Amino acid sequence: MLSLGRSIPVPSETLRNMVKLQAETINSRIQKHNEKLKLSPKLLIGDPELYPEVPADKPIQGLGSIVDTLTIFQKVLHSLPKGHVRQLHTDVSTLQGYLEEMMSSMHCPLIKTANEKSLEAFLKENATHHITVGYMALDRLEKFMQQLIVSLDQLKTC
Amino acid sequence: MTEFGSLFISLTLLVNFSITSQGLATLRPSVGHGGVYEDLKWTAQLCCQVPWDQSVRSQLAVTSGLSGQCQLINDTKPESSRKSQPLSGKEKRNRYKFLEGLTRKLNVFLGKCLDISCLFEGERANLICNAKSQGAALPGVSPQQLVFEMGLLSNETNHTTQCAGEDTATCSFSLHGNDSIVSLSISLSVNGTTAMSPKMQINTYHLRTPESPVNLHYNVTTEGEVILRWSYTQPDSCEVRYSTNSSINKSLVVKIKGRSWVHLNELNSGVRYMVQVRCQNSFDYWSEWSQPFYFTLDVSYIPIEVFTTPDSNVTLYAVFHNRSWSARKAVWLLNGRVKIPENQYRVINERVSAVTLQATGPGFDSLMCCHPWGEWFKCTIAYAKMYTEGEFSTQLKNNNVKNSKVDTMTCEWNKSAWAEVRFLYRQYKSMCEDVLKMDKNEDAKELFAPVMECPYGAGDHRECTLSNLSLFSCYKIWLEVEGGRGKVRSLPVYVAPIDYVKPSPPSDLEAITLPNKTLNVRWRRPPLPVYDMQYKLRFSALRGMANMHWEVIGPFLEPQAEIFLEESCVQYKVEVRCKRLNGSGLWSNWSKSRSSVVYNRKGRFYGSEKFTLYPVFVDGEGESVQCTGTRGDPAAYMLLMIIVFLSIVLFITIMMSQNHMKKLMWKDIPNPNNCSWAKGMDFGQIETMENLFPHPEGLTACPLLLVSERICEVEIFDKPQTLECGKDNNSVNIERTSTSSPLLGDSSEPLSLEASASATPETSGQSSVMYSAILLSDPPGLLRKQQESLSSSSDEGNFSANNSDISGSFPGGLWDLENPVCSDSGNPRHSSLYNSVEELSETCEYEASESTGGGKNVYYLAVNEKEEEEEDEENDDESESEEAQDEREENEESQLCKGRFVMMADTKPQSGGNNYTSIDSNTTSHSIPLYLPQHRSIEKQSYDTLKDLHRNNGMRK
Repeated sequence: MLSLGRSIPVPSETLRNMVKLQAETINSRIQKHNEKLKLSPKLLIGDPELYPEVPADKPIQGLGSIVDTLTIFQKVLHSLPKGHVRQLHTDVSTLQGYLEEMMSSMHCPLIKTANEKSLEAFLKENATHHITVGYMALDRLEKFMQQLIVSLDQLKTC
Repeated sequence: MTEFGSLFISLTLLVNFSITSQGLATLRPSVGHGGVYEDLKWTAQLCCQVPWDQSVRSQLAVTSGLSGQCQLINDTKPESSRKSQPLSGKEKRNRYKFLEGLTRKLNVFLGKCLDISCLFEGERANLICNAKSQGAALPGVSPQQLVFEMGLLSNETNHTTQCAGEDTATCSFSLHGNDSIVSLSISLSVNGTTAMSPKMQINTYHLRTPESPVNLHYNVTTEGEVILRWSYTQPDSCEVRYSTNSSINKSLVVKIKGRSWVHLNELNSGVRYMVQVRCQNSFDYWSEWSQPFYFTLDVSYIPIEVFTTPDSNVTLYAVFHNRSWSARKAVWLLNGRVKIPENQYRVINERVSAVTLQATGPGFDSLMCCHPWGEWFKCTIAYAKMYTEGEFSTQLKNNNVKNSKVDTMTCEWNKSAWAEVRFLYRQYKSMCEDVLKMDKNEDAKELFAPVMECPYGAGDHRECTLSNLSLFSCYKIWLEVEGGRGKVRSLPVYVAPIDYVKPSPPSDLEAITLPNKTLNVRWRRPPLPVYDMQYKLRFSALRGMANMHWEVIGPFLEPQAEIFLEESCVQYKVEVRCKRLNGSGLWSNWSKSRSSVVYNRKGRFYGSEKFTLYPVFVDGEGESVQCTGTRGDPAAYMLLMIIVFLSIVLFITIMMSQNHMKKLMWKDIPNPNNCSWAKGMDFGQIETMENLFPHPEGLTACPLLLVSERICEVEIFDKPQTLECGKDNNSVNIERTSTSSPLLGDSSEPLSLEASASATPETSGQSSVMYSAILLSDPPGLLRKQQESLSSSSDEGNFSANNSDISGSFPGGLWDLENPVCSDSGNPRHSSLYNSVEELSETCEYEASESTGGGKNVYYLAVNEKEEEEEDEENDDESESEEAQDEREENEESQLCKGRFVMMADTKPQSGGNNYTSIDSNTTSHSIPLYLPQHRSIEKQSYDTLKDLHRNNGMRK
């Protein structure tokens, strides 16, 4: 039987490599940033069940979900005070740009970020706790980047 | 009633709003008169009677002395008009009686009632009031004749707005965003007779919707109770509703009266709640629901932030909303890193833990209360902040003023990463010593130096870079950490950037290890800053270990140093750094390393050489070493350059001469072997040539030479003198030799010919003088064999630079090559070639030595310029032999060989050229070779050979 589905161009290998490199760069910066906080290595901040507004262990299901998750992280990073996370903000924007370019070339529909109000409420509520919010968000972002690096095949799907 | 129809009645409604600005605190519902506040409107009903006999006096002669009057029908107090209620029976009766009275006096008064309403317009910026006549028009008075005048008056600003209308009038009054009390008055006029309304007042506050409660927040008590609080202007009755995100439609509503807080019970940990509040004002108007307030209960701190003083004890409480967490297991961490000892903990109850600690010094710290989870500590996002008041000390780790186009200063500090720090500074135009004195006067410093902030703004920075510095100004720098209730600041630091300049390292380092055990080092100081510098130098021997063992010496005041060494001829690695000489400052970085040049008296360097060595030692690879050959004596270097230049010029000259002669001698010689028509032919056989060139004349002499390819003519003169380089008995008369010498005699004496070559237009435009030594050659058989062997390599275009050598190595080889017909044994081309005069001289000497033993005679072949040839022709006519004449005639006819040669037989080298014998080449032109080597040796008595060749050719003709 002939497939009636729309053919989707495979993203270029170059773009995939750039995504991988950018994700690795982000992780490297996160580790460096968290090292500067000099927190106790035994510290566990932010139980994943406690703050669902910031994605934690979110499965990667195609480009749309990746971009959606990155959008949330971008908002969190944007809420943090100026300083060391500024470069991370730029890095995530760059990565997001790559993925959105892929989505555009593959004619993927945009996914509207859900629970936007909850996220805003969370950020507002914890605006005075930017150190721990940043630490938790970056920790979750690092895990997400690790997941992305090993799931590059997901870049082939919307 | 018919008179009314002729009445001219002017009924005017004049509304005056007067506004008085009063604070909201004074605005009470009781303020103002008349009207009812209902549905965010103020409404009133006004009835007036106007003595119309006055207005129609001229026609009706009505009794004068009557005046108009107006009365508010529902003149009630605001307190009693909270709700919109229909007119009671008594009110209805009053209105009826009033109107009835008017009617009874209708023959005297004209009665009219108005409906008045006021409300906010748009975004509550304007108050708009409307007065409209009630009921049907007056009998006999058209609506156009009923005129109202309405005015709004502000008492404070004396601002009045008046507007008029027929049957209705509308006025708008700007409130400028503030609540006010507006005075309203209406006048109704009929033909100049006016009835004034009583003064009415409108409180605009009562026309507004109550504001929603704001500033919702919650507190947690030390008992663990959650208290929600909010702000509202008039605490009355409020409603609180709260729900979780998942049950937004199942909100719980709590009614509150007379306070602005409420206990929220039965809340779960880890759940995000949404809370909203609304309140009711005195007119029972409900506000909108407040903005939603979200909160999640995990760990709450009491207080959330605390301001304390150094050495004071501070107690903080932590409430675990997670019921699975026990306060007995709580762990307190300072700044997320240091665990506070447990003996400072206190368990208030199962869910509340307290810690008491002493503030050490001014600054900022964070406190977290966590719960153990295995070997880990589970913590929440929330943490408590502790500000210890006073000026905390901070360390500006590195002030670095760069020597770039823009002077910048980077300040770094080491402070808690938990603090959101602001980097503030003031720039003074004075010296720091003066600023310290002036800083005690707050007014002065504020006046002359405004506070500026790091361009980065507040954040978790650890450094700030200020640009466009004034190096010599004083900067006062400090840090601030702001909390909700105040801020703490660091002790200020007074910095004059010039004192913290870290100059660029010196450059252009040069180092030489001298034989007298001295290391001589020179360098160049950085151009900025301009103050005097001092220098330090460090050096290490480039041998032995991979790790450098530096030895530091200095300071030096000049950009050079001379170091005495223990041993000589050792290469050292040298680096230099600099610092301000007088005053404070920072040492620059070490300069780029430079390896010293070991001075070698025997092998001095001239010119520099840019190369790198990577020494490999036992313990690893050492640092790379850059070796540079220094320039030596400039004069010697220049001499070397001149020698090289002259050598190049000489070489080019020689090459051009070589090329010219090659072109002159070899270029136009066709090689039949390369021609298609010559394929398979043996040019060594005469038959072949005859077949190819059956023409019996001319072509046999130079069969392969085209008419246009004539090269030269040879003139051979008999030289009466003998060759000087030979002995007397070897001196040969050319003519005698030509007649007596056998063609292929075995005499080994060379025949030296001095030739003057003139390039023909077909060959080259240049000319030169060359000499050829014609030596006696090998026997004819061997000679032919050599010629044949050379024929394959002497093709035009394949002539190599060694052809001249070939001519010497293969005597006469090339001569016969291109002209097989002329390759007779007597052909003068059977000669050896000499490349140069020197070679010729040597040959001459050789011949001189050989001449004593019957050696070869040396002859010189000279090829003269054309003008000379003409003179020679005249001089040598007499000496021409008959054969030569025949040949010349033949040559003139054939015109195949046009080059002219002057051949001189001489026994001495060219230096003795004064005594040469010229031979008119015309006599032998038929046997002139197609090209002439520069020097060649021909067989003994080659001149005879030439003649014999001419003779043979003549026989063939």
